[in-house]
Amino acid sequence: MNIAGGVINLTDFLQLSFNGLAIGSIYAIIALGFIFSVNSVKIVNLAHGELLMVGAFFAVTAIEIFHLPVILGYIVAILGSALFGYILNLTIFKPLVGKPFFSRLVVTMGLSMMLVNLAMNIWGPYPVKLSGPFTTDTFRVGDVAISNANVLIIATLIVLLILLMLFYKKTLTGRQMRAMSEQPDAARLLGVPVRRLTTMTFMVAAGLAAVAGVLMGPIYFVNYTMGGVALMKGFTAAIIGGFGKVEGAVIGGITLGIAETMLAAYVSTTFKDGFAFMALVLILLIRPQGIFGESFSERISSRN
Amino acid sequence: MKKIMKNRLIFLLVASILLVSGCGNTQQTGSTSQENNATEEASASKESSAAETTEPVKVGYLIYMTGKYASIAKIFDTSVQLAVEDYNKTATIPIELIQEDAGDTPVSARSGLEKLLEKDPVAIIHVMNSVMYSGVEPLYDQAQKPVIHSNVLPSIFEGGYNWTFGINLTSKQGLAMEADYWKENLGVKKIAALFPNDDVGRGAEEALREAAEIYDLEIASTWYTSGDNDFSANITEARKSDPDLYFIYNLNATDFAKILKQMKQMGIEKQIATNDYLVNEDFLSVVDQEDVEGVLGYSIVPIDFSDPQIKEFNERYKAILGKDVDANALMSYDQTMMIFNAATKAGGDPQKIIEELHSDGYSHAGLSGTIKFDETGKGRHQITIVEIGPDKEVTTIERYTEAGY
Repeated sequence: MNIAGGVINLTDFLQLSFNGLAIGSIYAIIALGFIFSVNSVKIVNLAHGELLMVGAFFAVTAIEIFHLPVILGYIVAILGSALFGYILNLTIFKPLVGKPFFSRLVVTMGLSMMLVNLAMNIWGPYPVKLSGPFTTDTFRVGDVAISNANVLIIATLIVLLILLMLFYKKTLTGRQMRAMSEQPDAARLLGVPVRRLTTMTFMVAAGLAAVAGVLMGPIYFVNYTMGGVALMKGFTAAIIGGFGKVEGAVIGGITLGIAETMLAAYVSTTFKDGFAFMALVLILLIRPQGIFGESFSERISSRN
Repeated sequence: MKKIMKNRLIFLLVASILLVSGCGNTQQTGSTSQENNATEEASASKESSAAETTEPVKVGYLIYMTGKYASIAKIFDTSVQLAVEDYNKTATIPIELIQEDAGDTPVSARSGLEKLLEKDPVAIIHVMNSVMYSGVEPLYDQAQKPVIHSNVLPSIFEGGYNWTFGINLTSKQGLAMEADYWKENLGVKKIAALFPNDDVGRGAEEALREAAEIYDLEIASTWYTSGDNDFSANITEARKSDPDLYFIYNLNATDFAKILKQMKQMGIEKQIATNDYLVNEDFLSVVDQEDVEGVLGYSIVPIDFSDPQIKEFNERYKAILGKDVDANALMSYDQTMMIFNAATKAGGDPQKIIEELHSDGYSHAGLSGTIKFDETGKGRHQITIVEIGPDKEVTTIERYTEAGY
């Protein structure tokens, strides 16, 4: 069935929308982790994409090398990444507290390059397969093919959002984290254990990066370069949605995913990445605070 | 008495000398009579050695040992060195292999060739990526020495040169034979083709269009970016043309595996085909079995490990490199042996080597199959249509020969 004067086939449109929603969900999860990371270490963490890559490789090690069951392997990878995040925070980011903004930024760049090289040397330069919990099965809703893998991705985002909302609203630690991210000085004065919460926030950020990594791995394969593009897409999603807001990250990610897919299908397949960065530039020019929140520069400067 | 004994001793001595030199002459004569057959190349070197010169024949060897292709170079170089070893076991005219590094760009390739040509080789074994060829082509034409290679760019054979000898199949040849197979055997009329948006992809698209014109096939092309993650837009565009077959041209394991997976996820059920990249260890190790089962492709050099010659070669190759031979390994061995035999048969004269390789009676039955050069220098004219079966095993469907051969 064609719509829009016969230009757009409805089945194709719905198919692209669903695929865009799935890839947008991955961007949203990356953006969520990115926001946590920024809230924790108070800078743009340019190594966040590499945390995603490391998490994916942890899953490869657990499942493809040690032959753990897939779900257990994913859990081990996510927990392992959180632990890795703890170690990074202890050894690298904590000592940087109070140092100039630019110094901290450069350190994250160095960390990113170091992780890329480490991964290349440990796991090799070639892409590797990561088993997923499903085969490449699909079911149909009308003529639209819905793959199990994409359903898992979207479902994971929904579950994460519910867990985060419950965590922030119903737990003391969650409320303290929110206070710390919004008013760190006031929170410290009120006895909120800022240092401990900073560490926990960074561990959550690393864990979220690993969640994105294990979701991407079975579809897009795992390789040492996967972090770079992931970082840019997550960063763009966070900016579009409004930096610092969980809902902003989600809306930004989904908007980016769907827009990218639609523009590639109906305008040009070869300019897909260009659209994402064009969107970033436009948002920063027209509405720098993003759809939901405060601008990125305000967020960072208020923490420094 | 003493004089009679002395004469007898002298007679015995002379008879012994005559007997020994007579045996030597018989051997040489026997060798000469074997070598009149133009296709018996292995014995050609003995004829030359007896009849012409004992100076080593200098053969140049230009290979990309440094740079981004260095890891691939080992596949070819191992075979070349094994060929040198095998050749030297039986040859009486020694070959001096002069090696220079081609680097990884057309400029570095040209620089390597300049150094090589200063040493005046009679022929050149060329091992480098097709995209580097533009750097060396003008120099080769100037030098007018026979160059044997396994490059696949169709343009290499369209310059009207008589010195270029390719033992591989060009992409144009392969795609044309595949298109013919699809039409004749699968009843395909319309193809949706996905190509990488780069020079190689554009060349392949042009080649497939030419084939589609010859075989009266409709083709709708779409372009993807190598290294991308999401190909749903490309697949949707391809699906719009409602094709009988989807063709994915690629030279990258992960691109291809991702596209196949996403085609499956989007419910594509029509026949999928690709070029000769299907039978590739890197690709088959990353792709999921359910995504690749039933995909068609072609193989240029079918490798039968039960063949005693290939089995023996593979054992030696694997002992050095730690992996089984592939098509490139077998072709490198053949190209080396071919040029060594031709070079020594022709007495080290480059023009005579060129004439020898172009001669009507010339063919070489090697590890990679039979090679016979046409007037453009293309030596291979067959493909094997293959399909991936369960457990990712490669099944031979049909051996297909180029029209006119």
